[in-house]
Amino acid sequence: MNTNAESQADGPPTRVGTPEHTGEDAASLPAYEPDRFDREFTRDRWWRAFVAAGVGLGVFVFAGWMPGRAGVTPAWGLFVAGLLVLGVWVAFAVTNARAAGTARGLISLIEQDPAGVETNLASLLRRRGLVGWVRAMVYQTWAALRHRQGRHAEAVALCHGVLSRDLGPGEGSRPGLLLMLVESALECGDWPAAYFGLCALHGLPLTLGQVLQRLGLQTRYEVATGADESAFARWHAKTDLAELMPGHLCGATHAMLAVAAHRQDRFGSAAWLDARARLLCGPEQLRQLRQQGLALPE
Amino acid sequence: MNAAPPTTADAFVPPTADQVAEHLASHAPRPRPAWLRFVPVGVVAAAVVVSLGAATWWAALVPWIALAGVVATGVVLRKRHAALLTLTQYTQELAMLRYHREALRSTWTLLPRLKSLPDEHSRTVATIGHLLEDLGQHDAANAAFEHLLAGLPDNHPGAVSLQIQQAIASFESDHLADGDAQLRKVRNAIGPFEEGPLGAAYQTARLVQSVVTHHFAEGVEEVSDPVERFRPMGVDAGVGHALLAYCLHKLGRVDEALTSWRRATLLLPAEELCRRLPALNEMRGVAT
Repeated sequence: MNTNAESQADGPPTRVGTPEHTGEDAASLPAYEPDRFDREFTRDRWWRAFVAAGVGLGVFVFAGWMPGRAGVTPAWGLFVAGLLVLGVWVAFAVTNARAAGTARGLISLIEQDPAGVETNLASLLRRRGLVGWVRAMVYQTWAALRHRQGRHAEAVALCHGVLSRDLGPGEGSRPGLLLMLVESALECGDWPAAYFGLCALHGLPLTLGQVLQRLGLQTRYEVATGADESAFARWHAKTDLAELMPGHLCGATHAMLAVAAHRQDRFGSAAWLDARARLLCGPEQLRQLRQQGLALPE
Repeated sequence: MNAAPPTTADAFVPPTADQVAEHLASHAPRPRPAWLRFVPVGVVAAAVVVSLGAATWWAALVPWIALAGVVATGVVLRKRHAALLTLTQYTQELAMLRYHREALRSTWTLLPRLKSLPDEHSRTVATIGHLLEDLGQHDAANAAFEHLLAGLPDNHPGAVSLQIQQAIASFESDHLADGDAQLRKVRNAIGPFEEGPLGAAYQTARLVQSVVTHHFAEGVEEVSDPVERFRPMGVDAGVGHALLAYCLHKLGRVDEALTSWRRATLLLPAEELCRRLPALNEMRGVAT
């Protein structure tokens, strides 16, 4: 049930959601390793330090050593040193901005072309010298891809990896990451990760859309873990909010609330919620919910 | 003509169709020209040229001062852009939460500030249209939808959705010929979207037409499995079930009408259904 907990009990986790775990071909992306993120951060830091040292050496040569030799004036040496600093800074900023822009753009392509996203992501991962928050954004896209592909254990590990970093200017994406973490954790039965995500979400400012997503996920967590009293509390307010969701999610929330109401012996409310769920959910969706114990039996 | 309705929070009056048309015309989106992107590079390049041309020591500082100015301006513009996006999102959330009047006041005053953001501008005009529709200002809503449709191809999902909204608004404001013409346009484009929410919304619009033109049998014939047909609309499927109930009642099929009405009121309160379409008051009386 708890894939992460199991793998930790057997020994240190090395690879999460590899083809051996999932039975799928990992295509062009390598399997995610929890240590990989740290290694790449360190490598980026060394790369940046190396470039900075090169620039420092250039500044010393042009501004300190060359003036007075070969007819170079101090003002001209200073100017060239300044240009060198500026050029490297612009190249660095452009590389990072383009990587961040590509990573952001790939997220919107995951639905249409997951294979293309995987290839592009692999080439993004090979880039060097990225700042921490840009590297985290690339990993976030990787997590979104695995989430979409249903490789939830790997998505959970990736989300944990990204969330443990300073996201800098990408801090606004933290709620989205946490929602993805909770959903993937619920899919693979990783209740501690889901609980961690839900707790963290309660401490963040959310948009209305994110509040609705959290409501659906929290209800699912509470019903799945038997916290029926909590799931059924303030159910009128919950159904009012659920009405703002897309139809199938609204129906799923009603079905789960019906289960909680039934277990609390509130049969009248359970019948009303179940009747609404039957109108809002298709037969296939209801069958899947029933299989997971998230809807009342027929 | 007064293009600005009163905007104080306690006395906001929804605009008329003319006011909407004039407001949209005078605050049409104006994307930034492409050459503006090169202004920062131009400013820094000019500063470098000035610096190279002057022989004084302080001239070496000019490019750096120009660069600092460009970066500072960029930061300020980015912050302003982020603030506008937050404000747009806030007004849309107000609309989703059905604070119609307050949301309309906010979107109306926000629109002039969105001229340089075409996507947000279009989204805000669409929100204004939907809010006006919810407030029963069908002609004014039509003016907003018309403005958006002018910039979209007929088979774009956004255009199909707007045309359906426009058709419903036309039927509800007794412009039956306009509504019929709009639905004919939708009929040609609905094919790829038949199974989703757009297909369900189209069917609802056809039922509204059947109710207002008293062609009840036609409306009933077109819907073979109402639960499946209206499901993609979520709780708004209640409107479709209620319209079907009304048609069935008018045809004397009382049991089926009551079943449909029960489904409708399970999804939406009867008061809400009657507010949206006053003709349904009759069905409410029959059910009680």
